[in-house]
Amino acid sequence: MTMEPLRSSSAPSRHVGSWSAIRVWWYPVGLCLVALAVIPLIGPDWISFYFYLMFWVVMAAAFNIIYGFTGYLPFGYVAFYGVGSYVTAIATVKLGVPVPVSVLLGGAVGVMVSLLFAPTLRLQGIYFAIVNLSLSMALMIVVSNLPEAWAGGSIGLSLAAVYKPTHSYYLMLVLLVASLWIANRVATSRLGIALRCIREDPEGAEVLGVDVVRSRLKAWMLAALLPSLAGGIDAWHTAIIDPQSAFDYLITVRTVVYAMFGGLGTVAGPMLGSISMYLLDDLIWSSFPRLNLLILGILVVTLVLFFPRGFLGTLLRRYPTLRRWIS
Amino acid sequence: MAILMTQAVISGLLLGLVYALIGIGMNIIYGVMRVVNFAHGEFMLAAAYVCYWLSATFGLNPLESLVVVLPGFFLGGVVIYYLVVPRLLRSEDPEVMSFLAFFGVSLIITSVILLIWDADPRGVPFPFHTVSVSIGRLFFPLGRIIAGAFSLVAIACLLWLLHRTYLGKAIRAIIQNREAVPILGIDPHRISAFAFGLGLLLVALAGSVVVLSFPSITPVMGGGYTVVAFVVIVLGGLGNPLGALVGGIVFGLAENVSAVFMSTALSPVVAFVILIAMILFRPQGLLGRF
Repeated sequence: MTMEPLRSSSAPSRHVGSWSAIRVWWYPVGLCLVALAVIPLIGPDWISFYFYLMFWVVMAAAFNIIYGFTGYLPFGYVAFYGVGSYVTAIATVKLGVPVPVSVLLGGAVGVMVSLLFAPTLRLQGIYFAIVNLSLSMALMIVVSNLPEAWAGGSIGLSLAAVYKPTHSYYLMLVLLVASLWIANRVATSRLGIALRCIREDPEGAEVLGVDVVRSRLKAWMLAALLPSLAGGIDAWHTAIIDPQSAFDYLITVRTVVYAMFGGLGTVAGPMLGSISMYLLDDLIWSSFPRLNLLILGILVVTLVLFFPRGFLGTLLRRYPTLRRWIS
Repeated sequence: MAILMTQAVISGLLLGLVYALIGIGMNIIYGVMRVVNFAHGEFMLAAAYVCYWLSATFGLNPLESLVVVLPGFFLGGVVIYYLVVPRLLRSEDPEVMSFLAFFGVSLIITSVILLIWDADPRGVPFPFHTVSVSIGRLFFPLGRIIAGAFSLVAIACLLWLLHRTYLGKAIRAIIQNREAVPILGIDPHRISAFAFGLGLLLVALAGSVVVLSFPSITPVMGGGYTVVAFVVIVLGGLGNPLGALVGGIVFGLAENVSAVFMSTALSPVVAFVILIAMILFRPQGLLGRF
């Protein structure tokens, strides 16, 4: 019996993630983006609803880069969001910088904070999660104890002077497009392969020539940039920030749940997960507001115990040929 | 200044004993199963709320309620173990998955407490006449002294259990090497269930006793206690009851003494700095692995 290399009939091309898959599902995504762009013109009452939908997709997609692809669980993820919000608010209110520039400034400071936290990346699994959580909680306490002239103390800052919901909506749309593009680039590039290797076996990855430290750092910085920008834009949209809500750990919780629900390790997973979970969440808030936390908790436990790979992940496990269409 | 420092040091020691009691439950559970009980603080809070309910309905003080609370939480622990942990241990990444699963449990417990008892702070009346004991010019709250005494008794009992009984030996065996234990004819699940129940019993003890030290309880206080437990077990080393004692005392002392020099609003930051420094530089804790 000769040893023949197995040929998979559904192997589309040499490129990771396959061009046919990208072509197919980018069309519905593109349609959704166009629809989102039109919302403020046809239904201005819905601006807030869709703004936060976009926000959660950005957060879940960015979280996926560090957890889904690289395998690190930053349980203090909200720290980047908080830093972005605060820098944007301080720059706009105290320094008079125009808002889009302060948002970019927020993103830059978020990346700097991630560099500061980078030495913790050498910790494994659970220790990394705990350290990250402690860092974000410590950051919250430090920020609320800063002098009031700098950061508003525990009362926070108000951006009411620059309140422009439609402008911030479109800026968030731009961020959404950028995040999806970045997530897709990470997934289909050599960086994505390297990150998946690191997630499965860091020592093995090094043997294969992957520069573990640099790849991990790149993923970490990217995963910090996006929530910082999102935090800045959210600060503009909501026009008020304070330490409790800017560093609220429920933001991390919802990001983790939304990303896990869809399925980590794919680009479509966090997108679909956050959209469906956002709608579900909204439904629960409007019908059973007191049960929101309970349902979130039950959902987390059920997900972890029965669907650890999320909805899309479980689907891909049952029907692996679907990987042609979903990258 | 000398009086202030002496007060701070002895107060810190007492606080450290309380922290040790808080941490010891998580220590056993993590040592035996490598499961991080993120819901630790919430279980403590649940015990505190049960004490409150028993006090409000039957007039029992927290120490009397221990008779009901401790066995109740032990049984609850065994049930929760069998419901949740075996699946977790079979998953791809047990540590992180258990972290997330118990995080979900913490949300469930917090919301249940919120639904039953609302967000208003609840207080349990202090059952004893003397509120604080004074020695010379130093004052010590009786609540903390009682908590410290319980902590020492609990640690002593735990050490006796681990070193002088067969069950304790089995627990130590699992802590050292979970895979090898079936070779010795020990069922890891039964022993782990017992250990989980024991861990929750200690958590319930901590929760009931801590109620004496704090004027009121609210449903959202759990997270702070979970962090305390993390710091204690990381400081003291995993699975080691003496380690929890050492870790708790170091932590309590550090927090109290630092409060003499800087604002108390920043004292949680001290806790985090200690936690992060220990994890980065000595992850096996001050006393090392058990």
